[in-house]
Amino acid sequence: MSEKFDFRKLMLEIVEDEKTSKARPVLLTQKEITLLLQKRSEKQTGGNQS
Amino acid sequence: MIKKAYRVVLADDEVHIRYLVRSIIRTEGYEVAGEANNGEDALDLYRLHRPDLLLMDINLPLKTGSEVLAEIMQEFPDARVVMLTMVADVDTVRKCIDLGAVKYILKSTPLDDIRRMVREAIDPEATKGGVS
Repeated sequence: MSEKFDFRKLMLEIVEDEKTSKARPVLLTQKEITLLLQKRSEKQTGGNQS
Repeated sequence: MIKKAYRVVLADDEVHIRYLVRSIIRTEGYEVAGEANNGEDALDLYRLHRPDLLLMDINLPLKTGSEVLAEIMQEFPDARVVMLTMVADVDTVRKCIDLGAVKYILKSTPLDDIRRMVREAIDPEATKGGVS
């Protein structure tokens, strides 16, 4: 006998999952941070850095 | 060639981290102008000494590193501030970079890389060409 499908419960679970994934911070590595810094300095020099 | 004695202020609430960073600074031949264990003292020391570099943690008591960074950059737009922290979330990193931090170094980075990044931050001209 199959379980009764509860759509409302499913939707609540999805909303909770989304909350959890959005609350979890995205962590960067040193390499990624260095790339962000490089992009910033390229912007400041107008992309003409040699 | 006479090497300029650069002056650095450190701000970290962890004693052992300050000890480690102090030893890095001194072995590079720089002078430690002052040390702070909270954000308010970091700001005061910066205003007092106007160092060539401020090496600062993010998680500081009384005032966070990013708050101090924002105030310093507003008051001294040419300030050179390096964040040295365990905080690696993208929002904090972006915020500090946007505010004008010259480097953002994770404490988990190998010591030799930290030394190199501090050298680059304090004297970008002298390290040009040698940056990987």
